[in-house]
Amino acid sequence: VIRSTFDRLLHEPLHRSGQRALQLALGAMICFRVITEWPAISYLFGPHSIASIEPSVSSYLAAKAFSTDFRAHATLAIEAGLASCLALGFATRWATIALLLVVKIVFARQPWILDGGDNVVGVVLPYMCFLLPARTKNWHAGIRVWLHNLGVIAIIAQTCIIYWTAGFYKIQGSMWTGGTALYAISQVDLFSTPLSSAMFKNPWIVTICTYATMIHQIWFPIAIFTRLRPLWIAVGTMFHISIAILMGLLPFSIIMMGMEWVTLRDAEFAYLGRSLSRSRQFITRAIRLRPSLARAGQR
Amino acid sequence: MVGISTYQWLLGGATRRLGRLSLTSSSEPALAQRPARSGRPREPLWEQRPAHSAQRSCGLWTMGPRAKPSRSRRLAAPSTSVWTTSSGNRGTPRGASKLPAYGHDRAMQREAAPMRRAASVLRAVRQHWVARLARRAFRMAILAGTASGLVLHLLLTVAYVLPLTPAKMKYEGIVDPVVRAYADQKWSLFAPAPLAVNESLLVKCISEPEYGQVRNGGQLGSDAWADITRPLVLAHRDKRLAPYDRLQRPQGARLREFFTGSYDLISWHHACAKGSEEACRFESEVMRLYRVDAANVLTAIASSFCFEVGHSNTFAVALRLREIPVKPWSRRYDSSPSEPMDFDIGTFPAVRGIAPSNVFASYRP
Repeated sequence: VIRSTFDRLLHEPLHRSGQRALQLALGAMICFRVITEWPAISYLFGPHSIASIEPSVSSYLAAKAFSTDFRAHATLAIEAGLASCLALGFATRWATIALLLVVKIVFARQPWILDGGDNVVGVVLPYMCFLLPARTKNWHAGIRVWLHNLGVIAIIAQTCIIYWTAGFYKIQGSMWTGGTALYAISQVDLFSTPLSSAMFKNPWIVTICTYATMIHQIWFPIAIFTRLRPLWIAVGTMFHISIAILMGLLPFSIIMMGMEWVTLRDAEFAYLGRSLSRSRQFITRAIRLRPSLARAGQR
Repeated sequence: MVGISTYQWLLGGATRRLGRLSLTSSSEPALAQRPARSGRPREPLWEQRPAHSAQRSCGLWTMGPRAKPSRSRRLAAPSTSVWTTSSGNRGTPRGASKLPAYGHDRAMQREAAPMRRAASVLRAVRQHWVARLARRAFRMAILAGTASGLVLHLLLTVAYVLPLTPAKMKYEGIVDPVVRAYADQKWSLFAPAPLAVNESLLVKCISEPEYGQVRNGGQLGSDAWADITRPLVLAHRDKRLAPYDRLQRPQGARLREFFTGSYDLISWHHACAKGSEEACRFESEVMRLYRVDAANVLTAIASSFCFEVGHSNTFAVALRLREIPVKPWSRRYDSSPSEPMDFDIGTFPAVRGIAPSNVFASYRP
């Protein structure tokens, strides 16, 4: 088993579809951030921003990159451009390396607006520098493939660390084990909507959702190495969609969905693609059939 | 013994495998001879070359002893060796434009002879067993180094993100600075105790005469305090695709920093609670620094707000934290509002020249 695994890691780049999914998610998330923050760049990042009060926090490069309003806008525009390259699959390796540099500069300038999604970006981007370029169809077995696979392993391990740590901390909390944690969060204005505030007052919903969250997070590192992986990824995707809608943590949800999708194998992505194609064909056929059925009914 | 045997077996397998791989062009025949993986056909390299390349074979860029041309190629090009390139199955051979035409021009052939001899010497050096061994050792070192580096990195990361344990306390001095420097992360994510309070920053814009009164021991009135956090939070609830949460985050983060310090201080706080005077001294000193930093940024935020809403005569700003606790589960259907608690932060001279957020221009308290 060890030998065949070693052989495989040297010869075949793994999780290429998952890699694209992560690149797409990360690029989309950074583009979303830059676009939404664009009207407030002067206030958050510029030379007269609230970040300018603390020059000691910023690195030298960050101080230079945000020394004028134009430079601040240009830095964020470059960040969005590189993120677009990553999302579209264009020169992904160079875009990743450059994006890592720009992201570090932006984070150094204003570390106080960062959330969990930004933390994931800062941790996972160095691993993504080792991935093979997205459009590479032919590869030579060897060091590049080996490094790609190590990068994929590191991303999957990091995803497991995130989930397991989050779950581990949760089982230590009395509100989590008591089943009312999601009720408390849903009553905080910043992380709630009127819908979630009302929904989590129901004892069944709040208990089931609180325990499902803990179980999903603690079992994630084990479940993704079993046949339960697709189920766990599907549940995780639904979980993050609901976080985006109900809690408003959109960037965090996007990047975490990308991190989960990396764990899916290429064959599973292919199966998913075939299933979607079949269902699309089925829907198209049903739409075409409807008028003919109606005509048959008239006769 | 079992461990050593496994290692030798693994090393032997890896070394044999590496002998057929990849950093140089000598890997191509091995690749070409292997069966295709994942449905991708791998034809022998000499079958993939463009047709005209057969006429250019000169033996200068030979691949290695295992590279063999097909019978038809050998007949077409009467060379003793085969020209193949590291570009392999990608199409155009590397350095094709530099090659002389073969066989038709004896003068050119004579010019190429010294280069051919040099290449054969180089090949002999490359194929010497010491060189081969060194190359394999180098590749093995790269593979083993990267793999062990990754394992070490992941172990450090796990140790960093775990809660405080006796083992972690022992190696905290090594683990924390290393991981914090290049992969800082925190994944408690609403745990162990989720945030159960609504926090707001209250601001009062003060003119110069009022500030003088406050400096002389006067009290700030309870009127004209503006809550500058709640409008952003409510706007974020209404418009998810807008930057309101980003504008609110510096306020919330700095308020927490002012009152509770950083996450790093938790272990010192616990030690202080258990009676360690050294821990208490350290905690109070670090807290003092945190409060100075947090107050500076909160003052900048408040100053920006005051000038944006039109208080052009603002000379100082007074800051206050308002906390509205979430109702406990047992009182979830109680519609009466929770009692807010206010905590004074202080009064500070306003900072001029901070850019406006462009959110509060139409603010009405």
